[in-house]
Amino acid sequence: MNIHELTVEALYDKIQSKEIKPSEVVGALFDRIEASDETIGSFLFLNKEDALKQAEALDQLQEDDRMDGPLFGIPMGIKDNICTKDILTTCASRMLEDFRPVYDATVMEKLNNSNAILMGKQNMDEFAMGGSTENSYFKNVRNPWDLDAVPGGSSGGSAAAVAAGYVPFSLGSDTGGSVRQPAAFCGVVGMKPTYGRVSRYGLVAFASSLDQIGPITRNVRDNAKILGLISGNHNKDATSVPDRDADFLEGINKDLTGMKIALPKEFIGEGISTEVEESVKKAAETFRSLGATVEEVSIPHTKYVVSAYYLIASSEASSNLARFDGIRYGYKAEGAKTLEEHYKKTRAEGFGSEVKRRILLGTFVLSAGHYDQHYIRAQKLRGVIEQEMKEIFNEYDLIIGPTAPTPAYNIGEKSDDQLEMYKDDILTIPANLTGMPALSIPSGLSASGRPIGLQLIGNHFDEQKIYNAAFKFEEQFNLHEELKQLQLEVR
Amino acid sequence: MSEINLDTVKHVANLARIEIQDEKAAEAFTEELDKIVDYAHLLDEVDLSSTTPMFHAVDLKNVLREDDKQAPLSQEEALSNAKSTQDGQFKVPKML
Repeated sequence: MNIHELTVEALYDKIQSKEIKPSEVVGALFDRIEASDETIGSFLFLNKEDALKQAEALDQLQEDDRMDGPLFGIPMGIKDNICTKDILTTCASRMLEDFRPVYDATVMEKLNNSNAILMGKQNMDEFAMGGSTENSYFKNVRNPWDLDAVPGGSSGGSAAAVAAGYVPFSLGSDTGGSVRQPAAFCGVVGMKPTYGRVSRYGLVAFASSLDQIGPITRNVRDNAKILGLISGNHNKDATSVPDRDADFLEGINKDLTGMKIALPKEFIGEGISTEVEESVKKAAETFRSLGATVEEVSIPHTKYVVSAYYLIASSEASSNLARFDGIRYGYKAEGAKTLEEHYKKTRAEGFGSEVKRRILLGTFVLSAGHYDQHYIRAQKLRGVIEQEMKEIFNEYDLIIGPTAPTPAYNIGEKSDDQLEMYKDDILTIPANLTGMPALSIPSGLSASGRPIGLQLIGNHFDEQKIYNAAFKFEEQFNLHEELKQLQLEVR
Repeated sequence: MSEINLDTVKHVANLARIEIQDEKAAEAFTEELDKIVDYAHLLDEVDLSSTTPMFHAVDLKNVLREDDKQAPLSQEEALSNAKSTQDGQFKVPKML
């Protein structure tokens, strides 16, 4: 038995039946991480001492038959923009290089109460701004499928770690595709839940009206299980929605006969690689063979979402990142003589260039004379997209399309042209602008052996339908064996 | 038509309290931001005159909680990440 191959559910069962001890699981995974993550670069910090201590305590509880918690003894990796009390939370930025939060994010409270074990904090694009994890202040991440390829981003460390068999699940955050696109590039499953489903308390804010935390796993069932555990209203996030159905495993195996699926023609048009388009068309055939109908529809304003998104997200970022003043926490520049000089030097030295670019863009968009022209018009476009997608959901259960226009590209290939990278987000942005849930699941491999992701978008709070369709699809196509093969090579 | 020039970037950087180290860096930002803002002008071709802006994805109104006492962070915790403190307070350079 290879511990690193086991899913969340399989590990849980083997621990419950006392076949393996939590400390054996944790030990085996740390061995793996230490053997090869120097190459992959998925972790920024390993929580080894605490994790081993916790695992030993759980060993004792296992012996005593007191195995409480739905994730008893399950290791996890957490994106480094989610606050972990007393444990480094850097956002992969020099600005927070030594920052230790004084509280846990809501999701961490929930996972800790489930008796999951934190293995470490995962690499990302600085402050979650980027699509390749090349904007990390500390180091790049390599894609376990092909070490020359990027893992995607911004949750690149989280997706790479799950693919490499370092942890059975990770949490990422998704503002414009940052969970789904790395999941697609790394051949794993990633969910951005409905906005408000998961509390953002303790997630370092990037664009507050778009950010959501979501799980990254190797299969659909694990993903549904983890989302169920981190969902729920929390009084410290005023945008978290009242509690509602959150058992996403229920009905996951339902027959798809009669399900109506829409495929927007804009999602497979210009700018989408042939391989990706073929993969989506094949997926449509798979859904038809499962009894669903798949019809072509249109979201006419799709081509404008990238413009609207970067105006809105950068505006919100410029406001959110104003908090980094070098006084209460974070990097502090030396030698400033006045407070204003202190701010300017601290922020110049503490932020990387992509973060600065977005702060400058957002500040420009919100400044006098440009607010109506850019910001308000972008928010209007957002309303148009929502209306167009809502109309589709009046008739259809789900929308499908690719997660990203291409499979993973090479490290360094796009890092000099921000605009080109921004344009790649066109397929994932609609779900963030509208707040709708969307999942990426593997749907193929490119000729060069890099994974391709299929995206399933649902109406608000329709995660159950997404998981149902994804699970049935996964029974027909998955990369589980390929992942195991890959994990043999990553050692 | 270019909205972004060197002066705009310097002005915006000042508003955002980010020092731009040298002329070369300012020029690079100018070029990059100009490209991005230029691309954003794609939106100009859409007629949005009768559309209302959508600021938020989920329609929640008046989210309130019970107004009861809760324990705040201790002074020690609140100061634990600060680089410069004195007498239990954050210390900053002179303001005026």
